[in-house]
Amino acid sequence: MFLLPLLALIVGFAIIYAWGVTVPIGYSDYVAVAILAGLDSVFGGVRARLEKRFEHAIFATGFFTNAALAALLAYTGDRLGVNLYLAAVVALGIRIFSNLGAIRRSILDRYLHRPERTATVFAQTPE
Amino acid sequence: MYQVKKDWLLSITVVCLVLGAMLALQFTTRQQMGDISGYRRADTLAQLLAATRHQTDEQQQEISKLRWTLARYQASIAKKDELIGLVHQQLGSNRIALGLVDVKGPGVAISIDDSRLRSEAPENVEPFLLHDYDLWPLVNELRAAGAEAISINGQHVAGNTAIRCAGSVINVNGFPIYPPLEILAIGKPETLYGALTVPGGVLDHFKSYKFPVTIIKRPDIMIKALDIEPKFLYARPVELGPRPPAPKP
Repeated sequence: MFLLPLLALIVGFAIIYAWGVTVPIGYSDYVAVAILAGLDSVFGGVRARLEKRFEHAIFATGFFTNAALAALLAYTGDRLGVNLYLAAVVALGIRIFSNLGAIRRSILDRYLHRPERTATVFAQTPE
Repeated sequence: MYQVKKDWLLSITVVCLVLGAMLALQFTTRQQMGDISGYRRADTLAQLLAATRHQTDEQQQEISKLRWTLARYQASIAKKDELIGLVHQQLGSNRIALGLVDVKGPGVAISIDDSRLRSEAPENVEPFLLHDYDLWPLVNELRAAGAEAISINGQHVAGNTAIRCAGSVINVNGFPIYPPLEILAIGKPETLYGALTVPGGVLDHFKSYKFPVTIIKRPDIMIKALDIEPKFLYARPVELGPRPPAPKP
């Protein structure tokens, strides 16, 4: 089931790689930030799904607007002479890590502690 | 209240497709940039060492030849006619060095134009145009590789030549030239070609910014003489005293 997005990732990569398109070197930083934003969105989506609060519209719009906004932010930073690019990289990096952490926790929780789950409800853990 | 829709997998798949495409885009771009910044490897360094040794040998030979010539000068002071012949011969090579005569010989022809990325450049178009500072390392590298005469778009690059941007053109000898540029160099074609194309060499910069560059080895390079006569208003030759002893090699 999780193989489908992975497959899509590889297919998307293969298409563009085989096509051999490149962006002008000056724009490559913006694409990098957009990629980070996209990664963040995808992990955020998976996390939301695991936490059973996934919403199609939020996810789809989130991906594209986040990518565009991150690139725009980096671009604005370049125009202003401030390295806003770094701010985007740091913020998105932190979010990606925290999303990954939550995903790992959910999956582990689901597969390792399934029988104990009912018990934890009685124990009233903060989660 | 949060109802999990069935198509969550579909939307993640679509987004992953786009993300993969973006990754590939960035990957190919970076790869292209990475190709450029190759480092000189050990074998290249070994070649350089060998070339340097060869050069040192040649220079030592040159020293002994010069000493021999000097001896002939001194010997031929008595015989005036021979002296005139010698001076004439010497004058010939000096005239080549100053770019006062048309010269021909084997060498390389380099043609180079503004970057193809110029039209799609982001805000700053400068890195995609040819400048004086793009030509300096080229000329320097050619000279270092033993080029005996160099011209850029018909302008002889001689001892007094300056290459300098002035407005939107590059002035060579005070004459404006425009891209596409054709740089001709007379020398050993293989050496000149190798010096330019060595990994990490001068051409890497041009490749990274997609300047169209071609280098052709040719047996029949023709280089025009300077269009101007070099003037020496301030520099005067020092009166010849006794010749200082030659430095030990």
